[in-house]
Amino acid sequence: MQDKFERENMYSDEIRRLRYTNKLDEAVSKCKEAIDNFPNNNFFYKILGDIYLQMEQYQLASDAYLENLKRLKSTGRFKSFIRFYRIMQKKASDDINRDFRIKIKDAIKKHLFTQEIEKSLIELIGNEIAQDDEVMQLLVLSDDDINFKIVTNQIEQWEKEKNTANIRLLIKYKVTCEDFSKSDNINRYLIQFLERTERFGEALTVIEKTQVPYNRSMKCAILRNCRRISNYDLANKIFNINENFISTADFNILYELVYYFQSKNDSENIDRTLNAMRGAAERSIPIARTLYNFYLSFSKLDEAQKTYEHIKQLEAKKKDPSSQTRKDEQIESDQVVWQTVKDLISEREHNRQMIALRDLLKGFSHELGQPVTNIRYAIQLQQMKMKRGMFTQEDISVLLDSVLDQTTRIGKLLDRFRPIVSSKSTESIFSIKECAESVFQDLSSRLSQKNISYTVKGPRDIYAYGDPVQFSQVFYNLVLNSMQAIDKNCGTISVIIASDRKTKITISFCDDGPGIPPENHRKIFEPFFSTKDPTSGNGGEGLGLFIVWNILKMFNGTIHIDKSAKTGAKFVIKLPMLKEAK
Amino acid sequence: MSKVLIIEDELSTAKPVQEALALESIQADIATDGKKGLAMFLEGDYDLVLLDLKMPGMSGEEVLSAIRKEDPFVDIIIYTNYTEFEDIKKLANIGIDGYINKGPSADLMTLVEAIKDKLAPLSDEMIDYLLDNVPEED
Repeated sequence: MQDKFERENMYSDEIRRLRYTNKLDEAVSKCKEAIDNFPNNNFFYKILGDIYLQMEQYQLASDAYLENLKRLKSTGRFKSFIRFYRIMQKKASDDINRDFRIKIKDAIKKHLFTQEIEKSLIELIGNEIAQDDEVMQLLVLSDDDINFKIVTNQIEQWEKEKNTANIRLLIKYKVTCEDFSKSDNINRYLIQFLERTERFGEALTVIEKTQVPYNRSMKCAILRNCRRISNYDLANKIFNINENFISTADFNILYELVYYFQSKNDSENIDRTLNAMRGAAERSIPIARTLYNFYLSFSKLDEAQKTYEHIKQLEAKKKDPSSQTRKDEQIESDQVVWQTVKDLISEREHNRQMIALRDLLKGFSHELGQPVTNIRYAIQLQQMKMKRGMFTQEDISVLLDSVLDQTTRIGKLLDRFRPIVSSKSTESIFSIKECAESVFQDLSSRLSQKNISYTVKGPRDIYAYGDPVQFSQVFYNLVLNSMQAIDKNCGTISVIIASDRKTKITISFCDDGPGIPPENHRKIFEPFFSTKDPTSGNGGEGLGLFIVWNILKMFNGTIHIDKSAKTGAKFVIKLPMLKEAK
Repeated sequence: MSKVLIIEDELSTAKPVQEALALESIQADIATDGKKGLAMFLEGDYDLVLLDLKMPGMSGEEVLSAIRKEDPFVDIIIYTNYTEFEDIKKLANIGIDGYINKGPSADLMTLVEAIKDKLAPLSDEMIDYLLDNVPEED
């Protein structure tokens, strides 16, 4: 008895060693050998199943586990079977899982399990095992449109019960089915159903595989689903979308085509499609409104205005064709339309700012994660030591020091972000030159300490609109950056502000420090890019230029490095000209 | 004894991990940048690599690809602030064995457990086995 136990142990050790060194094939044969030698030791079946699972041989894994289950005497080890069953559901294909369920069901019918196991099986996975009959029946029914009502009712029912497994099974059956000729209506229903439940990719697969006739509504469905998944591969494969396609399309398809050409950046065909839409917009208010929105979103303001006038005419006609107040209304509507256009543009502006802010916060929370991690690790390490009774007086002071260090780091990070995050949003028109001068004044003592002189040139009446405190951060960060770069304790910073009096403001910012090495030109505006030591406490988290870049983005401006600068660093900032100041 | 390589640019993060592993009798070495990490990996005989993604110089992703070229089997656990799904998906394609969050949900015990699990994958089953083989009374 003792000897047998030892031999079993030897096998077990050997199998473990093979698994551990990833020799899985050898582990399998060793396991099988063990099963031959000790047919009553149920444990080896489980191990065999686990190895197959590791090898992703799900069919074999399920067979081994089934053998294990047949040999179980009590429900003590039943839990590991259920755990395996759940893993299979997640990892193995639907087919293999269906097979597995059928095998379990057959074994139950033949009473191959103990009564106790059988009862637990039905209790825990009985519903799942039973489902297949019903599904199989429906799959066969779905081959023929005669059964349209039954099939569609069942799909609705499953959806209500949230039985996605069955729906998935049906889709799978449909796309692998060979004879699809008699079930166009059911297929079409399924496609609509998938689109309605936002399974756009699956809808496209069914469209492609079942070859439903591409009538007008199906054409539209293909383009629409492609749009929803941002991938027009299938549409490109099926259709030849050219001028001819546009000219024969109805409004719904034209609508989709606008998005299609937009995804291709094909402005010529966007124009063509919008032109084709005009005909339909002639008499229909909703279509004209859609066209109007498209014109706005492509910033075609002249066409937008024309369309808007047309909408007004249509609405007036509808209300009272002979109304005398029409002319007044029209004048009024002219004002309304421009207000609307302005509102829409400022809304887009707002979105752009939100994106800039989101990027900034993402970078911020990312950087905050590091000190938080360090604090948690430091504390948890001491907790682990405490549990083992290895916690000493010295550990306490190490812990406190490291927590303090990390909070200092967090504090510095917060300070750097404060100007952006806690904007008082007092927006006003301000002189860029005055803004720059006030920053230099604030920093004047530090500048003179390092013997750095500065000049700010340009007319005083070049204005920007926004939060001046926020904008001053642009100069603040650039000056700090230069101060750190100029290390020879003597230098100059110069700012030149200029405008073309029409559309653009240009601010150039130069210093005579060592300049920026070309290999860093591209990276320098990325958050947390720094050539300085982050723990030096002197900035260096790599945030300065990222903050500059973000603030300018909010002001609709840009910044880049002037690569032609021979000495020092030169930044060029471009801002749009304020309309009121034109 | 199992050996772990921690590739992480911040010592304040790496040290507690190293000490915590030592409490579990797991030896861990620290490399503070990607290049050093890769060199140490190629020289030493490591069972598991704990890899930070965001590092100056050679990035974690580059280190990962380089290690995978040399050794497709060694366990690699990524720990990072990144929570973007796309990033992880990309890394999964290169081949990682686990993923541990930094930041507010960082947990040293979970990290140590994850490493222990990877190093001794059969321990659960062995317990099962021994239980199964407790001699029954006749």
